[in-house]
Amino acid sequence: MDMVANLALGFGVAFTVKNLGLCFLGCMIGTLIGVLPGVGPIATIAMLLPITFGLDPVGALIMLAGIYYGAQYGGSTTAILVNIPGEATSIVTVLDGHQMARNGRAGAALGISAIGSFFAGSVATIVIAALAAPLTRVALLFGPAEYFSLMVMGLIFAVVLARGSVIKAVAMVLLGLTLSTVGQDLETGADRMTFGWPELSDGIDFTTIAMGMFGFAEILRNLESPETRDVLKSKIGSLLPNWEEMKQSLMPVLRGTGLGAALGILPGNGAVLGPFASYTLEKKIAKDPSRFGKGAIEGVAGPESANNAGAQTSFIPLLTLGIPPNAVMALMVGAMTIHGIVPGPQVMEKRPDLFWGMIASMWIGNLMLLIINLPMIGLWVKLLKVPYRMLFPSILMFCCIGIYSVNNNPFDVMITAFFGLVGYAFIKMGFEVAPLLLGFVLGKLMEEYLRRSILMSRGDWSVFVDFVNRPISAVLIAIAVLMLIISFLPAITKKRDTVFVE
Amino acid sequence: MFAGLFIIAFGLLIMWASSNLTGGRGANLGPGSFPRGLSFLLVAVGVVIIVQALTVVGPRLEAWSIRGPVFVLGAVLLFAMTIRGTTLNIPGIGRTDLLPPLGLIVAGPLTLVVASLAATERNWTQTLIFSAAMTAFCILLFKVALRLPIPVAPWAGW
Repeated sequence: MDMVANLALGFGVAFTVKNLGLCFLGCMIGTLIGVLPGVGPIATIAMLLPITFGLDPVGALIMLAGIYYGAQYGGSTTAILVNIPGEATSIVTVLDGHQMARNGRAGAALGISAIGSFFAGSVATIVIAALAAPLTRVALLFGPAEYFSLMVMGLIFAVVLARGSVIKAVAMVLLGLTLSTVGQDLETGADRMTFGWPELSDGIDFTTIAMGMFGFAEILRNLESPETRDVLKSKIGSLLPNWEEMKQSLMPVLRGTGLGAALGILPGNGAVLGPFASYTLEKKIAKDPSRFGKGAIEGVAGPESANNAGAQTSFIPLLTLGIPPNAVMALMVGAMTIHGIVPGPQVMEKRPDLFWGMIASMWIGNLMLLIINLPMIGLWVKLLKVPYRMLFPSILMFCCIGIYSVNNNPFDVMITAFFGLVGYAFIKMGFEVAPLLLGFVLGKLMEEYLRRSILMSRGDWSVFVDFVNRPISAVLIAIAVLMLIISFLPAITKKRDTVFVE
Repeated sequence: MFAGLFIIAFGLLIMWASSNLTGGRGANLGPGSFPRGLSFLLVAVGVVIIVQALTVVGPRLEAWSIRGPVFVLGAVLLFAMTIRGTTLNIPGIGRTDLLPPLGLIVAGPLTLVVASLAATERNWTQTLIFSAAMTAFCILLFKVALRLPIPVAPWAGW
């Protein structure tokens, strides 16, 4: 019953004119960036963080969340019509979605991806509402040692589930943690690693790292590969799938939703993993697997549902434990901190309006996306014709104005340019930058919990693995170590590669 | 290989930077212990990356492009230097104004035009019209609508 009362409170908050407007705005922007190839949700949220300063926290988070799941919708439009994944999670949609478009079923592909996403989003919203309270209660039992171990586990998961080399991802997490120590020490106030630069004594601004490494570095990467956009010239056709297609999609949508919702909760890039898992599953259990890759509607319905469910449930670790499972959620932590909210189990107690308002807004947002996407598809297709050579200077300009406005300080803009160069160098050396951002966001908390645990244990470092007195912490560490070992086993590494290649 | 060396170098840099911080003893970890611990881990990970690079045949390093970074990041630096002007602190001479505060109305088109140079295709008329229109749009959006305290034309007091 609690859940119903909570959701009622949430809908009360979300149904104000202002919050509805912000939700709509977020969904529009999200769809826009999902549609435009080369502009990711991470860069956009980083870009818009400063603009949310003027809003109240509830409104700001509702809008940012809308951008995130809106981008998942928009990404599929580009995948189906242009054969380019507008967003990392729609890589799989390209395979069968674009083939469907070639076969003259573009409308049906767009339709089923919207319907599947809406269904998955609605289910995921209920999952969040149902899981939030019990998980929060568990989290409140946690002491500093458990928290530290939980964060270690979260980071290891993020590393193992990241694309590319595990060891390089470990290096990125460590780099992120190190960057978080720049600035004044939490306890003694001593300047740390500032190299005598007064500009650095406040620490490195989260937005400069995020925008530099994601926004600028992404632009640099995109500029290297000349764009070829093969926008579908033929007609889109009816947006409603026919009866046969509906029947074929029903089970994939259900399975995709379940898989996506479960994987989305995992730390790491859960929302990216869901579509891959769903596609593999559908192909495996299909009566005729050879249809896949040639326009099988199951290959669109399943992954699309999975990616939206995952996008939504990835809010669970953030909202209940205060631990961001991926880079976008790390940005949400940044947004919450800017507004003076410490993410974690306390949020639900102290700010139920914010917590449930945001969850309710997700359901409303999903409904809005259905309306935004289907009738307005023509408009989005036109937008695809904006050439990248005009797009990227505009993004650059927005970024510059955004970073400048955080502290009214041009120095921040220079720091961002520096991180842009560093991010570009990382990409060239084969590093993924997302783990770095996670490490950076968790760094300060981890250090605090580590120091507190050691202080409480009177210098005994075995607190984290003490199975008798601290079983939760010990289990978390054990899982983390196990994951790490498994990821280094050659057989698994090979399998992991094929999952991501396909 | 190169990546591993980079990580090791960074680890050593942190080790050096945190060497003047107190590490703390026993139960009380000082400000230096966390960074120092990380620096050791970084060096260790760097070694593993090098070993891996030497034993596993991976894809070759991608070529770096010069044009993109120079014009894109150059445009960003220009924005930073022109929006509120730049003052240099030269030893012996003292504070010198390198650039006066020019504001968004100058920094905007400058940033956009320089950034456009990063693309391989070029159409000057289009770029100039686009830059002017985009700057006007930004002024309307950020200064007029969102009221961010960004200098638009400081010499005219706006």
